[in-house]
Parts: sequence; structure tokens; C-alpha cells
Amino acid sequence: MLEKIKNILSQANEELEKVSDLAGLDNIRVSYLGKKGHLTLILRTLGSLSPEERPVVGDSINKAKAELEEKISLKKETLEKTTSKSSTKLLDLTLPGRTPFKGAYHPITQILNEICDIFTSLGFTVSQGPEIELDFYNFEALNIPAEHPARDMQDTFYVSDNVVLRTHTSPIQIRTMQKRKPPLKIIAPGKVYRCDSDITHTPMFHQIEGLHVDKDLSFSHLKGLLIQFLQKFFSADTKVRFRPSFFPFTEPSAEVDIGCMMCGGSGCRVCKGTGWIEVLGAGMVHPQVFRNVGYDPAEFTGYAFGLGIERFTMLRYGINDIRLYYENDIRFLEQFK
Amino acid sequence: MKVSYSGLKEFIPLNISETELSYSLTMKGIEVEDISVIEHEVILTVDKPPAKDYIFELSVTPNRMDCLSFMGIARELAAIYDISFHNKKIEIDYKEPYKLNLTVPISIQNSDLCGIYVGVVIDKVKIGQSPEWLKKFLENIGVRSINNVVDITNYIMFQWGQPLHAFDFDKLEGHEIIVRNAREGEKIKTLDGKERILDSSMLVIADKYNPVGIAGVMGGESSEVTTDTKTILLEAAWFLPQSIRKTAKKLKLPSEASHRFERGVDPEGVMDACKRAVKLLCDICGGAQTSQFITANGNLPKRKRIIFKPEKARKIIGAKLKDNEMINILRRLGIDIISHDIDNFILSPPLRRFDITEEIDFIEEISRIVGFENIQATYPKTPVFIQPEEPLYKLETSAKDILKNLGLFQVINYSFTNPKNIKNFAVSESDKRINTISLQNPISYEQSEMRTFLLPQIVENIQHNIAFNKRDLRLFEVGKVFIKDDNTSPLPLEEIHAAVVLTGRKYPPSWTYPNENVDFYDIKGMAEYFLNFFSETGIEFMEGNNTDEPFMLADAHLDIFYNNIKIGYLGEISPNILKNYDILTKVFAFEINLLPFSDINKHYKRFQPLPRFPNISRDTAFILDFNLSSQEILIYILQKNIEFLNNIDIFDVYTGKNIEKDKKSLGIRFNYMSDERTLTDSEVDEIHNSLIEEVLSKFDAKLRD
Ligand SMILES: [Zn+2]
Repeated sequence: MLEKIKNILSQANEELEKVSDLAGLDNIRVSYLGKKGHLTLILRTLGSLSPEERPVVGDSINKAKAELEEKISLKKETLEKTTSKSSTKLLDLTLPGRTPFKGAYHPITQILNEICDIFTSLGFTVSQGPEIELDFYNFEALNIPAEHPARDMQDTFYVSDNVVLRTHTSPIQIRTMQKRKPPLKIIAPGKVYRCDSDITHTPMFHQIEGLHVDKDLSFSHLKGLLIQFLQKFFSADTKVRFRPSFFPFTEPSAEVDIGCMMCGGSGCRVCKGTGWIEVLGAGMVHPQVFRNVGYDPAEFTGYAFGLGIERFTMLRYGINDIRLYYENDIRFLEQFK
Repeated sequence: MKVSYSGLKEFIPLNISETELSYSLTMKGIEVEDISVIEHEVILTVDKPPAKDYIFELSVTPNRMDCLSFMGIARELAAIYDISFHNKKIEIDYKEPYKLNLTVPISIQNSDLCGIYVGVVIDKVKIGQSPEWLKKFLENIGVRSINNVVDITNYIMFQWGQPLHAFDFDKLEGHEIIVRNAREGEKIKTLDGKERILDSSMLVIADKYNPVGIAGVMGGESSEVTTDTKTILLEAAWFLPQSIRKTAKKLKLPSEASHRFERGVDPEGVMDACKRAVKLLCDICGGAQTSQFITANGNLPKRKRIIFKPEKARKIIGAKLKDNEMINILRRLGIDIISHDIDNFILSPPLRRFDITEEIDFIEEISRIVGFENIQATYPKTPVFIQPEEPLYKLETSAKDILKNLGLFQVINYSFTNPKNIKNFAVSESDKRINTISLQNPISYEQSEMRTFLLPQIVENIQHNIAFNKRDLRLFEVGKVFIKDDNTSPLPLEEIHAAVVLTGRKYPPSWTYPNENVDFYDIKGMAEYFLNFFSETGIEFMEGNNTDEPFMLADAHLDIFYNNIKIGYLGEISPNILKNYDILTKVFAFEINLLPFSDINKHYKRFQPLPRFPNISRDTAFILDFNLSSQEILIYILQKNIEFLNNIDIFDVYTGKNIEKDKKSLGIRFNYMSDERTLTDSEVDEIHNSLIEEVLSKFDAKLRD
């Protein structure tokens, strides 16, 4: 009996080797495993065997069935693969898919968002204010009185004698401090205007300024924060240096340079041969600014910083002509998809 | 400002390279923008002329007037390197002659505006060329040599920081000097040959009758030193900075002298500079001093006493600096220590340091000289606190986000625009958008008015791109417009607008999409989709009144309302308007004021239980009068409040074959549902059929077969 099972199995294997289509494979399945298949029929003869033989043969038949089933299903997989390849193609899979339009932010917006995201992750929240501003908020409250030479640092657009287009987003700092008590940790992004138009200046540009007021903030903290920000934005090995400078609303004031990424510090056109590129202005909030908004400079200290988005955008993308920013040429905008 | 290496060496011993010097100055706050090398030999008054010299181009911040001279920079270097600063040239060289008989009446009438006025007369002056060394000195720092007298005054100004002026003494009527305010409308011809009309706020130097110079700004032509001049009166003075600044600004007459006076020259250095000049005038021009230094005094600033707490400095800088280390730095900068106890120092800065008026100014000086590079970077121990959000920023960023994700490109235009745009867009006289805010000092006419709506500039963007044969354009802008406010606020209303324009293809160029152009329903759908993000209720579209938006095509635009207030418009821009911008294709647009959405309270959605029983739908197509709006039928059906009718929507609109000319077919899907049970087909049929009958008779409609 066991011999017979063995023969049936080897015959089935032989047929499986030869079969080349799915229909033939199904015939094999039916002729061995179907209701009247060889292995099924032999199972029915079990009754004629002695009680000792019965479990041995039964077990052997079941094993043979399982083996065959697996072989058939394997064969089926291979046949299916080859069959589909040989049939006529329904699709040209190389044709491009049906994509919708893809839009893009203006590169200025992309960089502005990126910078805002870094500072929000550091606990700053966004504040906003008017673009047409009172002289008081744009200058006076920021420790820039009317006859101060520092007014020359910024060419101002005037709407009337005491109304200007804001020359920086600093007035937002004043408005926010007037409304809220410390602690305070804000960034103020937005458009600013200066009466200046040439190859390196557009009369409108974008700034982000930050302000952090609390007890015990120091210049050392300002350094820590800005180095962290610049290394996040540019790269972890960006060199950063702080130089003393002058802004009426901060003291001490600093200009912040990064090591030139174009030449690696050896000097090139971008860094005017110095190896450094100026990217930020910063400093400790001037006590007079605190007094102007009713904060006690003996109790609170704070730092502030400001940067131009156009500059960061130029450095990130290597844009070499700032006039492109406001021409809104689609060939320019499309590059930032 | 330029200084030369050799010029600095006259004040201090320098044995550092030009690169190190440049680095030190830059890192201490005086940025060196450029270094140039002078190869040829420079002959100087010092014994050994260097074969090579370096010229440093410096950028001096406006608070550091005291650094606008060779002496100032030398003093700064002395403080940085802790070396002694010596000006050997003065007291040693100058000896006042014995008999000086001449006196000149000098008076100050406005002692607030003039702190001190020193006049000295020098006779027998021979006007001629300057010696070679002086010419070279001036040439190196970019100043033209004029004659020996003028060159000497310039030399003193650049080297010592004190502007001087030389009058032809014989041309001063009455041989008298009066420092007074100008009379209203008084005239003077300045050295540049131009006649200036003065007002009473301006300070002038006058002789007995007339102004001979505008104080601190420019001398007058009538008393100019010429080749015939024999006797000069040399002026050295201190004027109130604010006054000089106002005058120079009003007259649009900035000069090297006013640049210094308006920042404040050293009140303690006026006399020294004057003596030095007299010495040179005698040595170089063969002159002889014939008067004493005649001095008239006004209100000169006085030295202040300011408290300094070392602990405060450590707190602000965030570095562990020792008391004596800090005090030593301040002493190097010429600041006197008056007294001190354990926690406080009483300090007195020199008068030339106009920038030092309170404690923080000492702290800045200390941090600067210590060097920012020597202050360690640390991180603040910030307490955790939640701050209020800025609703307008959120509004703006989400608008940009939605539109970008709709496949549009963001443009950013200037906030100022061409006044011609308002005319081109035919904005009516009664429209608030015509009331633009003008700039007093625009860059150009094309950028002289603040925009009151976004559409014109974004249409200009289309014009620009079409010129480069880019015709498939999908652009948006989100930004502020500026509306004159009727109320008393001095500031305008700033609205945040979002604008979209579509022109050209409906789909991306592709083998698979139909080659169709955008139409009205593209812009309407986009507006609907966009607005839905801001509010799911209260938005209405109404057929536009053409007088409101004269730039939109009469039959193809809608006004957009939110809670019954108009917030914008959508549709097709009128071809008549587009012609002004050479645009011949159809352009669809919307513009929406987002401000009304800023006070929408954050409302969280509430979950609705899912319907427990299935929906049964019936589709019916009606043949209707072509002019009947679909909205009218939908509203009619909904207002009947039919039981189980859950919602309806339009699935088909058709005109053309098999439909009469002035008719259209409108296919409506009716969805029926109950909350309590599954509806049977027959009961739905009964409800639906009777509803259809009502619609047919109401609108005189037929069913489409
Ligand atoms: Zn470089």
C-alpha cells in the first residue's frame, strides 16, 4: 500500500514538472486531490485494512496530500508570473502619472517660516503690529529721539510728520511690552520699508526680530541662543562671531557674523574678502527702552535680535540679485517648488 | 572715515601688523571695512618716513564721535592695548608770543547753542601751496588739497577731530564776531557759491552787520580766504549738536564739519586744537599771531558723575569679571574714578564721550574691551510659560498654506504701487479704495501710493510673465492693504487680503488631461474651498452689482459676504481692464479681506453619531427655463422640509442636443433617510413622486426622458 502511495506521488511530481499552463495545473490538482482523485480514492480503501495498518497508511496519505498541495500552489505562483508577462500589455507603465498642480511659497516665505519654526521650537511666540506706524513706536520709544544722528542709519518713508512706514519690526516689541508684563518671549516677523533702492537694497524687505525679557538674562545667554539658531539654520559646524556695534535700543550691542560658507573663510566676493558674513544685529535691551514701556530695568533684563530674511534667503539658495524677489517671475518662483 | 598707520603712530607707539590692528579695531566695535597699501614714500613730520603705509577705511558708529579722528582712534588703541597715549605735539611745541596787543570783540548771543568760541588773529599769512607732507596726508585720506590755510584746518579736523574755520579778517566788517541766531529770511552766500535763506532757528557767525558763516555747517563766501588774504581770524568752537543737525538738514548741506559738530566734538579739546593750528599756520604760512586766544563762553557741557555697580555689570554681561579688572578697563578709557565703597563706584567720563550717560554705558565699554569672544555662550534657565497667540499671524499663514496646497504660486509685491493702477481699474469716486495713502518721499512715482487692494499688482505680475511667454499662471498673494480710516486714529486700517488669479490651462500640461482653459467655476470652486477653512457658516455669494467692482466682467462675477458683510469678490476680470496691461486672455480672480475671520473663536467640532439606517437616493432630471437659477430650485425644495429628505445635490447640468434652445436640464439627487428604521422603496417613491409633481408645477418644468 505504502509503495502505491509513493508511486502516485512520484507520478504527480513528473506531471508537475511538465505542466506549462494554469489549466493543465488545475487538471493535475483534480486528478490527484479532487473528489475522484488518486489520493482521495486510496483514502477510501482504508476501511479494508487491518486496524494496525490503518493509522500508518492514513498518515502517509495525508502527508502525501499536503506535500502535493504545497507543490501545486508553488507551481501556480510561478506560472502566474510568467503568464502575465507574456500576455499583451494593458498599460504603458512609463507614462507619467496624473498629478495635480504643484504650487509653492515665495522663497522669502519659505525661509521666514523656517526661521519662525526654529524660534517657536525654542519657546518664542509670534507677535504682529501695523506696517504704517507712529513715529513714537518706530523711533522715540526705541530710544531714537528726533534729532539723534542714529536716525540717519535708516532712511525713512514718511506718510505725514509723525507717521512713517516702519523701518524695522521693533515697534512690535514696544507695543507688546506695553500690553504685557514679563516674562515675555516673542518674535516679530514682517515687512519693513526703507527709502533706499539699488543693487543691494529694495525699498521693502522682510525682518524677524526677537525679544526675550525676564529676570537675570545676560549677554552670555544671547550668545548661546543665537549660536544655536545659526548652527541649526546653516550647519552644525558654522562659525559664529560677535562684534561690538551700536543700536540705540540695545546696549551692549553686537553684530553677528558667520564664517563664509562660500570660501570657508579664506575670503571671496560674497564675504568681501573678510571670510565673514554679517547676518544679525543683537544686544541687551537698553534700560531706557524698558523705562519707556514701564518696565523696571533694575528688576528685568532682556535681549533682542533682528535679521533680514532676504539675506538669509540669498545665502540659502545662492540668489545673486535681490530684485528678483519682487519681480514675481514664474521662472523664478517655480524653482522653489 | 580713513586713517593711516603712520598717522596713528604720531600718537602712540605701534608695533603690531596692519592685519592685527584691523582685527582688533573690528572686534572692539570700530569696523575696518578696507585696508589699502600706499607703496610710495610718504614724507611726514616725524623723523623717519616709512616706506610703506596703510590706509584703513573705518565705519564709525554714530555714538562714537570721539573716534572720528586719528587721535580718537589712537586713544582707542591705547585703551585696547593698555599702552600710554601721549600727544607730544601740543604743550611742548606751542609758546605764546610775548606781546599780543590786538583785541577783537567776540560775543555769544545764544549761549545755549554755542558752548565756547575761540578766535585768534594771525597776521602776515602767505597763502600758497601746502608742503608735500601735508598734501600727501590729505591725499591719503581722500581729501583734496586747496591751499595751505584751508589744508591746515582740514588737517587739524581729521587728525584731532576739531573742525576749524579761517576768515579773511579784513573782510569782517567792524572787525567783530557775533554768534547769534539768524534773522528770519536772512541770506548768506556759502562757500559753495549758493545763496541760502536762513530762519531764526539757525545759528550764524556774524560780523557787525551780516552773517559770515553758518555756525558749524559752512563758511560764507564774503569772508573767504583767498590768495590776497593777509590776515586771518581762526575760529575754534563748540556748538550744540542738535542745533547743527537741524540746520544742516534743513539746508540740505551736510559737510565734514557739520558731521562732527552734530555728533559733538570734544568740549575739552577745543583750545588744544586751536593752539596746534596756530603753531602750524605760523610755521607753514609764515604767519604771526597778533591776538591772544580770545574766548567767549556759553553753556558748555559739564562732567557728570555716574554710579557704577560691578555686580550689575556681571549680571548683564553674564561673566565672572573681577571689580579691579573692570575698573582698570574704564580707567584706560579715560574715565575718572571719583570715589567708591564696597558695591558702588562713582565715575566721571570725559566730556568727549557723549555716549556715556548712565551705568549701562560703562557695562558696554567693559564688555567691548574684554571682548565679546571672551564672553562664554550659555543658555538661559527660562521658566515655562504659555503666551497668547497672535490671531492675525495664524490667519495669514493658514491662508498662504491653503492656497499653496491648491497648486498656486505665491507672489510678494511692494506695498506701494503706481497711482495709475487705480485709474486703470476704473475705481469709482465713491469707492474707499480710491482714497490711497501717499508717501511724502517716494522712491518714484510708480511706487508712491500705498495699495488699497491686491488685484492690480497681481495683474501686473501676469503682464510681466506673459511678456516672457508664460501664459499658464496660477498666482496668489496674501498681504496687507491700507485703508484710510474715517475715525480720528492717525493710522490707517490695515486689512489682510488674499487674492488669487488664474489664467491659461485648467490642468497641468500632460498627455492625459484635456486641453481646456480655466473658467468661472474654477475660481468659484477655489473661493468656496478656501473660505470653508475659515468658516463653514455665514458665507454667501451674491450676484455682483457692476458699479461695486467695475473692473469685473458684468455677468461673470459674484460678491462674497460673510455674516451679511461684504468681504470680497470673485469672477472674471473685465477684458477692458486687462487691455491696459496688454493681456488678451481670460483672467479669473478673487480677492477676500480676511480680517473678519480674525475673531472667530476657536470652536471645536462635536462628534455626530453615525446614521444607523441606510440612505435611499432617487435621481431626477428636470427640464427647466434656462434663466432659472439652480439655487432657486434647491432653496424651494429645502424650504418644504419634506420628511426623511436628508439632503439634495446637483449631479448634472446639460444644455444642447435634445434640449430646447432656451431650456436646460438639471439633474438632482435626492437622499432619503430615517433615524428610526430602514425606509422601504415604496414609501420613498410615494414621497419623492409627490415632491417631483410640486417642483414640476411650481417651475413649469418637464421631466427629462
Ligand atoms: Zn567668502
